Amino acid sequence: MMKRILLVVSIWYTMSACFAAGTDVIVQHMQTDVMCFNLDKYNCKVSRTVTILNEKGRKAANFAFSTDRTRKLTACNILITDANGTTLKKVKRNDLQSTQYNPNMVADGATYFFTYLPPTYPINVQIEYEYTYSNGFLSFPTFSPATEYNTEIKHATYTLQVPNDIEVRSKMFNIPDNCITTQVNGNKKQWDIVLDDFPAQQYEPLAPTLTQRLPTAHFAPVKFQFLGTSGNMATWNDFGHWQYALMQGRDELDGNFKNSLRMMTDTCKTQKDKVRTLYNFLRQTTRYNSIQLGIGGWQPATASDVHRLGMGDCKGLTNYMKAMLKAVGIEAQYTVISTTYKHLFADYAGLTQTNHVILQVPLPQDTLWIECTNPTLPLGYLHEDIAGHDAIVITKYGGKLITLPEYGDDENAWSTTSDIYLKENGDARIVWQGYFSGQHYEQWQWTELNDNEKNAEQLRDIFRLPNAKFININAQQDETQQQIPAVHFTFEVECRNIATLTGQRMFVPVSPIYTPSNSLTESERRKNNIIIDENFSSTAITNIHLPQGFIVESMPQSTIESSEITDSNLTISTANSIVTIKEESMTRKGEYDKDLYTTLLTQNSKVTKWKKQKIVIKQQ
Amino acid sequence: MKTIFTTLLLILSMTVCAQEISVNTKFGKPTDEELNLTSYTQETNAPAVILCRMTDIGYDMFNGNIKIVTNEKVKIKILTDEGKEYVDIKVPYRKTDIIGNVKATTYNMEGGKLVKTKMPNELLFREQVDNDFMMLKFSIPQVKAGSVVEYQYRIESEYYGSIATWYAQTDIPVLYAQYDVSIPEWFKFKSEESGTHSFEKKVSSTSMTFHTKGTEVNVSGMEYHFVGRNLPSLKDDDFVWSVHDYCNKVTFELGGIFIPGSTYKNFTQTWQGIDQTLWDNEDFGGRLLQSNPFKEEMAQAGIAAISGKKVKARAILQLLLQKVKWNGKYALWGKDAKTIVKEGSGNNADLNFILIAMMKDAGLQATPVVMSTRTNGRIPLTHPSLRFMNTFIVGVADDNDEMFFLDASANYGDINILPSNLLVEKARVLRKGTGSTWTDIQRIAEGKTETQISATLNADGLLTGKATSIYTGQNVFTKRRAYKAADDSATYVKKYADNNDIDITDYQLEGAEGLSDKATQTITFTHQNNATSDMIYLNPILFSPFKENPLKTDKRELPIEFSYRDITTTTIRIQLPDNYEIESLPAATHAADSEGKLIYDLALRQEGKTLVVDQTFNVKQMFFQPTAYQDIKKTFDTIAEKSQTMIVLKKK
Repeated sequence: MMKRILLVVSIWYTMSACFAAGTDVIVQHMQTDVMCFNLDKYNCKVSRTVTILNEKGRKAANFAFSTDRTRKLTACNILITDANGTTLKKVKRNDLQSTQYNPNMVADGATYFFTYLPPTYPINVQIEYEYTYSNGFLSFPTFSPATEYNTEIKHATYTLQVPNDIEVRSKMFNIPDNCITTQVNGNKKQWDIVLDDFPAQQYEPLAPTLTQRLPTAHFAPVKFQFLGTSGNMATWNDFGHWQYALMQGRDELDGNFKNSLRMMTDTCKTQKDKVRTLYNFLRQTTRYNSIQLGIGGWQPATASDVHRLGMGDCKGLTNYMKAMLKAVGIEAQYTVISTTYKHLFADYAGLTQTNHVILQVPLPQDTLWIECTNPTLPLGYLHEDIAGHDAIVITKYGGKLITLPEYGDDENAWSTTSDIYLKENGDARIVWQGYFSGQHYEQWQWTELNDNEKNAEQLRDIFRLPNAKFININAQQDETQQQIPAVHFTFEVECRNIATLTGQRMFVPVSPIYTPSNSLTESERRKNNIIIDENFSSTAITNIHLPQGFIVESMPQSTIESSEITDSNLTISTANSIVTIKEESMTRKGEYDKDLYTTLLTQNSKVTKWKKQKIVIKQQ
Repeated sequence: MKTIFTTLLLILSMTVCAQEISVNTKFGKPTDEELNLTSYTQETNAPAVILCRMTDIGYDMFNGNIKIVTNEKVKIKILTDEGKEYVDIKVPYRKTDIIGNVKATTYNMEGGKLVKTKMPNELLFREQVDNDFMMLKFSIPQVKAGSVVEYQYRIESEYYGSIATWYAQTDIPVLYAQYDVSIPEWFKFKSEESGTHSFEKKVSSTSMTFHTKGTEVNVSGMEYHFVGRNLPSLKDDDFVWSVHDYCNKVTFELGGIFIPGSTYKNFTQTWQGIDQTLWDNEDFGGRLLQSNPFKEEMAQAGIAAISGKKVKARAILQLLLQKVKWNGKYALWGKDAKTIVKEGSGNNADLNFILIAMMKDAGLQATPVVMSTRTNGRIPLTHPSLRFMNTFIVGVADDNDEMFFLDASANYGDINILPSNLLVEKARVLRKGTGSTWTDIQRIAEGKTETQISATLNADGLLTGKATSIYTGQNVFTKRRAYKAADDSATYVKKYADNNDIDITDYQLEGAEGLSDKATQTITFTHQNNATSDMIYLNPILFSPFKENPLKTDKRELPIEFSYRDITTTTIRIQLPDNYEIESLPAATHAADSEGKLIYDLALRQEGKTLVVDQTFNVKQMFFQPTAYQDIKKTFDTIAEKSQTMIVLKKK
């Protein structure tokens, strides 16, 4: 009908497409040969033949390679054949398209690519390509024959040859020991991996991530050279020394500016107040901007450049904040972290594991972790992409692997109370109050940042109140909470048609206004255990104030739906013309047996159905 | 008279508004008012406002070569932190263009003093996008909430015959926008302004001087001057196909070139001329001459023996789609059939050229029908131009002189059943000579869904039934695409059940595969209603058009565009349990807009032991003016409200 409605269908398409089970692509054969000459140079030859079985696997026919100051694509041949072996397309290195364009940021290098839409299935795509590193490198190519869901590996090999004097470290996942051999050939050491028949991994809700399930082997030189720098990456501590050296001398600030920072913070009573003052200054005077140039994107822009331009990427802003703190006598540490992976490999240092930088500020009472790219967050807020994540703190003593704290269960409040003053015509005035703290604060922070007009617009969407007339909207930080950010959010609204009228009766939904709910997708023949990352508990109370002269004729019964994973406690009671519905839910983190998934689905659907029921009230 | 009156009113209201903040067209010297502005009165939640934008287009000569020169100058006021993103600038340009004079300055008030920061060159980046295009990117330094930012750049291009459309509106409000175009008499351009806000316009003759190779060239020409004031922000949404259709804009279309010493070159100014350009172009006219690459396959499939033009055409499209795949793109120009057949996929033009060759081979009269898709925007009314056209579909002459349409992108459709993006008001049926005509593709833009439900209610409140829905017209495409897109039919059925609040025990969709003009869905379902020992509370409205009004905002400035005219009828017959009676039946509901173009009807009645519900939702036109918004929203509200209708059954 309308575009909007079509849009809903299309969103749903992408979801179902990735939920569908099966095998879309078979890696028939993949051979990776790496020949290392010295710490500056290696050569890698890849030959890969895949069979794409259906349209969902069509992206496996595409090819992309990014070059930069260290790496070059020297050869590429692609041959596409149909099931009968008839050639459909041949592509050579010079046929590849190229672009330097990057929609978000400025970075070194260009990307060479080829995209193809198979006309028929199955189809075979044979790709052979070769590339060289000639300006140093931090690691060797990774052995990862499958990188997507629904990809089966028939046969994959990997060979790495390295001069004897280069020490190599490695880390393997999901590769049986008997698949790996090592040997010495003259003045070279050689590693061989031969992997056969690894089954396709399917998407399953609440399952371990794909990277945890696929076979992968990482190799890297212990000592390395890279774009004119050199170092040792045997451990995270060694990495820290290299990173520290890259930052040397980049935190200098102009004397006048340092003085003004001292003046700004002179009146602060505590160290933390000083940090807060400078954090606010950072927010007011800079903005995030992704310019990733320089040493592979690991060297921050100088603090004075960030100051001069009023902008920087995560490295630049963090280093700038560090420099400003230093100017007022507070030592802080540059901290490298991943926003995607919670855990880093403790025994295998590698920069591809990390993608972000934050600042550690050790204060006498507590340690602050500062996100410098989003200063709208309260100072020291542990947002969901860093809370509980591993990180490497960089000091002159090198790097140290630590784990960031996360908010405790008693600090994570999610509670709402709504009072629904029902009118005789089915309309209602609703007073809604929510209190969100700890990790839940983040989801509701927008209420504080937006003005009322924008808040009303968002609320209409989230609470599904198309005809709501907002009388009052108010979001406030809970000032009593110093350590754990919390927001009180209240609004008052006039709504039409909350209840349905029929003759003498009115039908009131049990859950007339938004309360937290889960939505789970079916997954048949589940193979993976259920992983719940964190505890979640919420309380939602709804008080329905009946119009004068109305009594309850019928209402659903209270119920408890419990399982090992989650409890839902749904109670309903009536007193003094008020019907009170209390929805409490508690989900426990942990790893659970895959067979429990069916229980979880049933439980979920029971709760959903309960919430769809109606209370029948009648005029006396 | 009426128009004059409105214009006057507009100007009056503009002057009143304009007092809020006065326009300063000077650059390099922001006024106190500009510096101290904290929020823009006309749109209080705007993150930034364009205080002044000046685009100047002119001609120049370099070493005897004519170039078109664009100078762009913008002054923005940043009002909130969110607004800072409006100073990360991206300017696309052609590889052969020269881009320069890039400057940017930020003005901040710091401790009562004006601090000026110039953008250093290190923040300027040029990236190659593809073989033809580059992108200039720059980030302006020291930008904070409160900053006034100015930037400018200059582009010299050898494509002197093309002036890009100037869009005066963007997603932040514009206080003042000025567009100056001066064109030497060597070039004949036609200009057109459109949009809902008025432009001040001045056209005057002028003379210009060019210095080249040591000589001076004097030439007379025309100067165009447009000013837009207080233009509101324009945001794309889900209810219009192309927001650019409603944007205040100016287009210039080249009519001819007459440079002294060379011959006059006439550029397409008539649709006949455009037709000829297409015929003459290798990638269009040339492709229409290519031979049918699927001769053998057509013979094998016995296409020649099929009688009935539509049946034959359908069989041909079906065959084509088995051989080559549509790559999801629309285009006007095509590659040669051999390449496409070999590669096995192509855009709709690539495939349509082959389709035409196949049709001709089978004795059908097929011809391209050229258009601008709905997402590409409407074609300008006053001046013919090829550059707005972005694709074509295939028209085939039927027995009765009527024409039916097909397109290679309609893989879920059929004859006359196309993706909604192709259902345009104005498309050009291309015929040799002067025979081309305009046609309205929206005449086929109709869909119909008829649902019959028969169900039985038991004393526990459980409703069990069977629903048969017949989809015809454009609804076949919509239904089939939704179903096929889900790929995994179980997922589709689950979602369909959830949306309609029922449990589905059996699901069939006849006509899900291939091309056909009808799809039939048959489902068996249950739905649990609340019940007590002597009461049943029944919601008989199964399959409501929607349960939640998709229109949420209070006001709307843009029109509302539907995909096609659509009529949905549902008849529900519910067998009631013995010994129960209906307490009361709600009265019939009728909701509609004032013109009666969007209608909802609901009626419930009892026939013996059967409850009968008739529901009709009829969208009779595709385009609604913004003034109809409240009516439509109200009608939608009624539908959402009525989807919750409850009936009370009492034990006798």
